[in-house]
Amino acid sequence: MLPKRSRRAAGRKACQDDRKEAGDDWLSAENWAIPPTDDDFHPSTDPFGPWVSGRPVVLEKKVEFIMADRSLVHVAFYAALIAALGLVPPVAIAFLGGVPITAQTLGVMLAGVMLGPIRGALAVLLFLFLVALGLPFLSGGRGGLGVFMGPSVGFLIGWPVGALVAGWIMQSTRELNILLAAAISAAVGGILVVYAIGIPCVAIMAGLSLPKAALGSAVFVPGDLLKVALTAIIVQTVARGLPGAVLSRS
Amino acid sequence: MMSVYLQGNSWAHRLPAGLKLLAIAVASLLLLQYTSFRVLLPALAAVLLCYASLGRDGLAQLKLLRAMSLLLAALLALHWISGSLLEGVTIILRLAIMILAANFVSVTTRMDDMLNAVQPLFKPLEIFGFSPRKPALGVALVLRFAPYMLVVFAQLREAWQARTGTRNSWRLLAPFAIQSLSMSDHVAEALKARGGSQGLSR
Amino acid sequence: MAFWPKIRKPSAEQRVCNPDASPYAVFDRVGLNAGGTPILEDLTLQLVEDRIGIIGLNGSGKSSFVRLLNGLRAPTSGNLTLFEAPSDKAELELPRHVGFVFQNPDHQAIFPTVEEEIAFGLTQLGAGKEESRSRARAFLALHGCEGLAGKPITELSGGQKQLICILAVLVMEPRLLVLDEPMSSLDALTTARIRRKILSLPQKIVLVSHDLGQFDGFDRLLWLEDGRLRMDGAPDAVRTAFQEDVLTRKGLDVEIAEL
Ligand SMILES: Nc1ncnc2c1ncn2[C@@H]1O[C@H](COP(=O)(O)OP(=O)(O)OP(=O)(O)O)[C@@H](O)[C@H]1O
Ligand SMILES: [Mg+2]
Repeated sequence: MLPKRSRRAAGRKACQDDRKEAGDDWLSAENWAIPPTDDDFHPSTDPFGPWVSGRPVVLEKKVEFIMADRSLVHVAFYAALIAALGLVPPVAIAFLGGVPITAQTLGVMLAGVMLGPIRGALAVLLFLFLVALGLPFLSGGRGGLGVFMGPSVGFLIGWPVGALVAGWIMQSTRELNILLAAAISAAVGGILVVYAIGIPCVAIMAGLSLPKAALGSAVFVPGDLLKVALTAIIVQTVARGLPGAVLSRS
Repeated sequence: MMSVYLQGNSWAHRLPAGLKLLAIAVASLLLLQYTSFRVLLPALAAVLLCYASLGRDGLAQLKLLRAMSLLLAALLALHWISGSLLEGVTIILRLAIMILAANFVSVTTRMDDMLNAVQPLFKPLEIFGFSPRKPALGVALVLRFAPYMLVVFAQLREAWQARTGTRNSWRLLAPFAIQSLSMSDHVAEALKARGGSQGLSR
Repeated sequence: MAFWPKIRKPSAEQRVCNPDASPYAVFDRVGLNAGGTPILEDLTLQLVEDRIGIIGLNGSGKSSFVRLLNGLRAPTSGNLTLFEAPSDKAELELPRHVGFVFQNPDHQAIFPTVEEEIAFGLTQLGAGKEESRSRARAFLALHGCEGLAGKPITELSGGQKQLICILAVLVMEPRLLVLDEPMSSLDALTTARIRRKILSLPQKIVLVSHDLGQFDGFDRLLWLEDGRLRMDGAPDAVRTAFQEDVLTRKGLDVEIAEL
């Protein structure tokens, strides 16, 4: 009895290690240009666990068949996360000037950093699509087409681009410490890019000069920095507990 | 289902969703061309009339203005400081009209109809192998996941509270991420077990 | 954008499965490995009977075994023939013939509301949106669940959820219904109801359960142990042997942590 059990346990551990080593590399978007060939496809990278038979034809079919759906599910998952975070009531932190901080952009940063560029951006787009369809998922219970007519629409447009950039940075800094990489990606994608698109839009929509619009938006930066820190911590924690879930670089 | 949609059977509800979307797009583009009160004030009156035509519930939708009032006031203040008060007033008026008009479409269009109206826009993506069923499936999945996440979090918080007496902790984040991510893996498997997003009618 | 990979669509002539096949599954020295560890080993059997039960201790490979039946897993050795087609060729068609009910309904429901969940199966089979909606409502009414149609899945009780998951699969009219511990979180009354529903179905059934009482009226019972077929036969004989073996097993007093 015992030898068998320990044999299994060892096998399980081995296959976990195996997974870590081979990684879900082919999950990343860049590998999507060419279908994975026999060589760069390790049997144990099946997303449902190391189950795949060695037959290449089956593999290819399986990859195509599962992957599209799995991507869709992942994209939907992060879109839902952004929506769920919108329900977290805004907190006003005194030493940050009492400006209300919402959790929603945390979701945007996470989507980019965790999913990688394309899926991250798609997750944000799917979320915005739901808002446009009339679901009150934007923080404060806002939704419908009206929100896309307000002066802050530039920030909404900036979100998917920010997620794209964040995912791209995350993907191209695989060697970097994950905490640092996540922080940089979230800061550049989630703050720099988003504000770079959002502020000019405020200026145009509200007829303000750029500096004034920037000044008005700057009050939210401290809160966003807080979210960058949170993103980095969450990504690092998940990377430890569930390495396969950090699709952008695993 | 939660939505800004307002149940009803008014004239606006009966208009086809596609038409409403097209109208709102055109109207917004036109409105951006004008700054004179002679255009903006009648436009505002027209939008308000639209809401009024929905009855009491319709007028209640104008609470949207209250939510926006802070933002609009801040904009007005910025304009006032820079000495362009009149310009500020027109701009805020225009924003209010556009927001209210767009919201009117959302209030009077069922989500399903809206989805059906925009579905054809995804058709061209088919050449990239993107199934036009995907956006709708994605929407459904989000609506399925979002409440589930709240349930998972509430359960974790209860378990945490039962053992520590404290309520929130950042330490819940990791188990939350792992539990909800594993749920999404299972759903992917379940989707496959029922034929995947491509369907079985090949 | 090659991100959403193009799916090669097999045309109708390429159909390989015969839904009326008997036996519907033929295992020929089938094995399943996970990263080098055997999960299932050397299974040789044929599934013909209308009602087949599977028992075994935790980790004995029951879930893995039934996942082979609908293509969620592919065997790593041996030959598996499903509905007269090799399992790797049948894969794309299997969801049509094999309905799979997962252990945890939270993990199975894909859609936010009950009606959509049921209607999905019909759209999968090619029905239009409106048609599938109305057929879904009719189907729910047929099974006495019309009151649930518009409800969000998250607001259902455990038993209701499980029932909806079973109905969502049944509406696709599969030839074979695979149930992986469908009753594990249900109360006695709901269990009895769902069991009666299952037994009244025309489908062939494969049921995994830890509750030996569930297998009354079954034609055949498989007992898996450590990935192998330990015993295969009439439910009563297998149940008795299983109970005797488990209860007299040495090491019953071993601390659970050592397991
Ligand atoms: N993805 C996986 N990777 C590696 N090993 C796995 C995987 N899934 C299952 N196993 C192992 O395979 C063995 C059989 O698992 P399976 O889930 O089939 O058991 P089961 O009989 O259904 O158990 P239970 O009664 O607990 O549901 C177990 O030892 C399990 O640890
Ligand atoms: Mg099991």
